[in-house]
Amino acid sequence: MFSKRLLFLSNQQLTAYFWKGGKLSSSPRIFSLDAQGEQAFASYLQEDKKVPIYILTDLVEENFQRIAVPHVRGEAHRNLVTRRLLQTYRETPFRHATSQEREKSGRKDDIMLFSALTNADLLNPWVKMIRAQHEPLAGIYSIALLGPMLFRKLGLDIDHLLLVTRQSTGLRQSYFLHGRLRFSRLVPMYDDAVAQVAQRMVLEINKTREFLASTRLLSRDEQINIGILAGDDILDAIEHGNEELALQHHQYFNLLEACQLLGVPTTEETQLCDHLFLSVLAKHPPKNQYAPSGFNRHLQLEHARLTCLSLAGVFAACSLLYGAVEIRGVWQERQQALALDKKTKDVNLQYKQVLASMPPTVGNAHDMKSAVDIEQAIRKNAAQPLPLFRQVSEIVDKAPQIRINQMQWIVSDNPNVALGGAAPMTFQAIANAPPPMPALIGLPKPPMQILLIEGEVAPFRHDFRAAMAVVKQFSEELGKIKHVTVHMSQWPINLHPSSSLRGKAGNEDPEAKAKFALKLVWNPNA
Amino acid sequence: MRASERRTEAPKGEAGFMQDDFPLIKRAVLILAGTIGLSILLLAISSFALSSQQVRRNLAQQQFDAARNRLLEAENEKREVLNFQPKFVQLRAMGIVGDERRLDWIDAIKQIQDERNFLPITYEVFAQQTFVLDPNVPMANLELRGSKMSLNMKLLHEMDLFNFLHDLSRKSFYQPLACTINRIGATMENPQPTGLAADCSLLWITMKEKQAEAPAAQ
Repeated sequence: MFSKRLLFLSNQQLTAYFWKGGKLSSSPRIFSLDAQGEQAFASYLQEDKKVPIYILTDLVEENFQRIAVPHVRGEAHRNLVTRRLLQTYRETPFRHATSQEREKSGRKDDIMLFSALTNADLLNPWVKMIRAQHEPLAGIYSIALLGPMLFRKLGLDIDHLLLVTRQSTGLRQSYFLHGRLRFSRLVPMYDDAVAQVAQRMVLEINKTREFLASTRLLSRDEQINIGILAGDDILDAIEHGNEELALQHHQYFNLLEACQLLGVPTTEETQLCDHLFLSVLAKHPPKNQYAPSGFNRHLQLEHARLTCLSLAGVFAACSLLYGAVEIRGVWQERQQALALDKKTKDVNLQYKQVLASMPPTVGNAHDMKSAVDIEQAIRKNAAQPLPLFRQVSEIVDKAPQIRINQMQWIVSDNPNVALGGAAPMTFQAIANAPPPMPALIGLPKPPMQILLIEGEVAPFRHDFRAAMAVVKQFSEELGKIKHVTVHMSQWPINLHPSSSLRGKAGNEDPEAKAKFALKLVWNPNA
Repeated sequence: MRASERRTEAPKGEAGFMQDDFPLIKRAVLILAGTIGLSILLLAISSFALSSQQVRRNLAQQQFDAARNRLLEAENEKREVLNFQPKFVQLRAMGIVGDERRLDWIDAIKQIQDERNFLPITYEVFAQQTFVLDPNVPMANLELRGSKMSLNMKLLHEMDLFNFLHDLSRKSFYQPLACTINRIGATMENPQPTGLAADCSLLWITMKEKQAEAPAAQ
């Protein structure tokens, strides 16, 4: 796609250039416009197959007409232009339409520039051969229509511009009004002498100016800018030898400098604009101009072919890349698997060594550990009555008026468990009790111990106040035991306002006793 | 150009495309199709190979994990055997692990009573029960069992009871659940009690391997 074949067609010959690496080939192939030339061209087409072909024409038989067409859009516009173009140029398929402007008044029709290469026989043999050999034809162009591509780079004043260029085909003069092509003509010129070329140029320019005036494209006193693109020697000859032309506004462009501005490679011998236009076309090919629709079918096929091959390349590259990544993954997985196998083998060996060094066992190791742990936990947490009884006994020894009748000790997880009564739990009641809870044997933490003390104050002497004081003192001493809380269950006399109180003053009952009961809750977890 | 010539240059239809144009790009299309096919084949093969290797590696990982766990377990077991077996043997000798040794208990009570010259002791051992332990308590393959025993003894002094319990704890593994000490001996003539009596509820604790599930009835 970076190479192009450029065919320059004139009324005298077809010149074939090869564009590669941003340069035109230095040795173009020339084909005469006869059977021999066509035969040579057919052979030429075989040489660089599938390289896109661009045809640049510079023919005398190129016609331009400005035609107003009703302003419509879209498909209707295209159909209308196609129909009018066909009506205007029935004799040739190489026609082109460019929308230039709209009328300022009336229906405000579109002003179109219709142009055509009217001598189709000059093009047909070459185009047919290209199509017959299925070579990709990109488009057919003309130097006149390529003129606007030079405006910006060369800084041309485009209000009224007569662009004069000299090609191998002759002298082409293109008139632009506000940047839009109005007219272009090619004058064959076979002289190479500088003076004669300059003289002929001035002559033809004046003729064109007269023509423009006569066709009212330009009034006689209106100034026109003349842009001449030629070699230095010709420009000097024009400037110093023609006072008549000097009166006009003109811009001279040294061809070599113009080529540099446009980025076109040149040589010292560059005197013609052929290479300039061919290079501009190769570097920035505009939309097709004269090739009828369907003529570039083989180019599209070539594009399709290259797209297919590119896609195939992309698929191949992507799949190879992906495949390479996957294969790398396979290799890594395999290495890891092999490493794991080796580690497994080592671990199995260690396992066998451990088994070999295992001492003879009397049971399951986990059972042994559990049994030892449970036994130690129970021994550590299990409740024993002696410590609490001993502390209570010490306090009782210090309270001679306190007489203990019964002490009932129990382990429980409930501090409010009901206790009391002189009768111990019967054997049957114990047998029928539900299975003990692990909490009662210290799993997982020490259980609470509850001690119910029932006793009396002796001697009593019917002094309830003294008895109450003794019991209160006794309960306070018990409350000093660590982790113990004391709850009075029964006082020597019930003084609560909500209960009834019965007694006898004088002649008291000698059997009367100051009984009391209190409950100690020892909670080692508090 | 003549009209007949122009007609030959007109764009071709679908049939023309297949007949005239497609052969020009046929090779490229075939290359593209072949490349796509080969790419898919390559991807399928490489993906299959990768997934196979991943399965193989996962299997190797599982085998390694299993072997490592087995080794750790063996090392742990060895450590536990070394650490706990002596004590376990001791527990078994004491009758804490294994079947209940009720005869040993009876002998122990009788021996204590004889040695301490205690007043007669009445006792009754009830049917063994199994503790329902919290699942967080590690019991391995053991069951914690307990047999309740009620005990009744007359005391000359309250310390008789505690001495009895102390001696009993040296000969067996039990946990007291409840004890009641009260005064006895009051009569019509002498209403003041002259002695003490103790009623206790103990729990003999043993550990034993879980019994296998009984087979279903035929």
